[in-house]
Amino acid sequence: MDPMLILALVAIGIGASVLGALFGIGGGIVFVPVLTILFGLSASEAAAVSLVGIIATSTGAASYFIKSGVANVRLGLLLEITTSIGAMIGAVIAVYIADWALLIVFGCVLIYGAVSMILKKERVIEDPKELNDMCFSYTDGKDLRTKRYEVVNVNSGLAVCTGAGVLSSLTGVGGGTIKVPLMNLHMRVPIKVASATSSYMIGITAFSGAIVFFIHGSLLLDYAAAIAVGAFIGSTIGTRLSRMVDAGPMRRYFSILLLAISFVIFLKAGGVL
Amino acid sequence: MNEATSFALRCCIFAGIALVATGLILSGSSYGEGVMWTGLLILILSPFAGVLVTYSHLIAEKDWKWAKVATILVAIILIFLAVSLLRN
Repeated sequence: MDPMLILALVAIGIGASVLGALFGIGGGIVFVPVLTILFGLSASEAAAVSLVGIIATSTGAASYFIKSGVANVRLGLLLEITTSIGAMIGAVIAVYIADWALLIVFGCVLIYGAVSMILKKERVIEDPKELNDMCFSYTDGKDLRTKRYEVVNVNSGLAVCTGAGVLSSLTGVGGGTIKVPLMNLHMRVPIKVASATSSYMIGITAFSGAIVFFIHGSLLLDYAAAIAVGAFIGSTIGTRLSRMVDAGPMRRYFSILLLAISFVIFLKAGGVL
Repeated sequence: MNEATSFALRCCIFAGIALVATGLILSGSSYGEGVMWTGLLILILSPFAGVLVTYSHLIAEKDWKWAKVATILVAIILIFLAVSLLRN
């Protein structure tokens, strides 16, 4: 493979992964269009390479966030159950639904999430009076304070995660863009915990898809390797950046990112991408 | 549990990326491709390795409620894999 091509793929991996690690979205929304448009890969080739990039991003970020106690592993395991079930349902019903219709629904959901995050204040239940199984704590890297919070609306959150799994499986866009606003707005999980937990979950979801591509030998080896190296470097940068960002601005940046992603999705729905 | 899970993820990703990067450097030689495939396999398996380490810790800590959650998740992942492999 041409060394310049390898360097270009590493650079793309770094860029996508910084965003992915910072906001808990994996980076697939960047990998897939870039690989198909700029590098001429087919949709399935790009999806396979993208899954490797997502794993490198999310595993690199999750190892840091879990060690520092920001990612909530227990909550991640719980929500991943219905996300995985949703992904299975999505894989089964994919043949019956028009892609463009799904993409429009997905784009609208993202816009709703973005606008809600701009308009609604973060309503985290800090220092809950009664302790239960859904009370957790984390240390904010910005001010080094240990903060307790309570996760609420667990059952409805699990149901929405099924929908996130279905949509991500059908559209190829990672479920992090839905799960982070869901955890933050609906389940009252602090934004930093939500994005860190999402990073952990995305890797597990991507594993199931990537291992199937690997076993069938349908991974483009050089592309996947270069993207993985870039994604790992990017996730290291993204996790360090997340320590320096306050929760308030982080929600605003995430909203802007969601609006940008929904724009890309509408272009894809219209057949432009 | 967090320490062990993070350590498992870190070991897998460092080993995987080191092999993948070595494979890229050796891509002109006969060994390069094999090294890259091995690195990618370790990298892809890393999230599931993390789940298994968390699962074993939850059992060791007798945290049965969350161990049940992890059992269900591991079962779903394995079913998903089996179905995917059989369909193709």
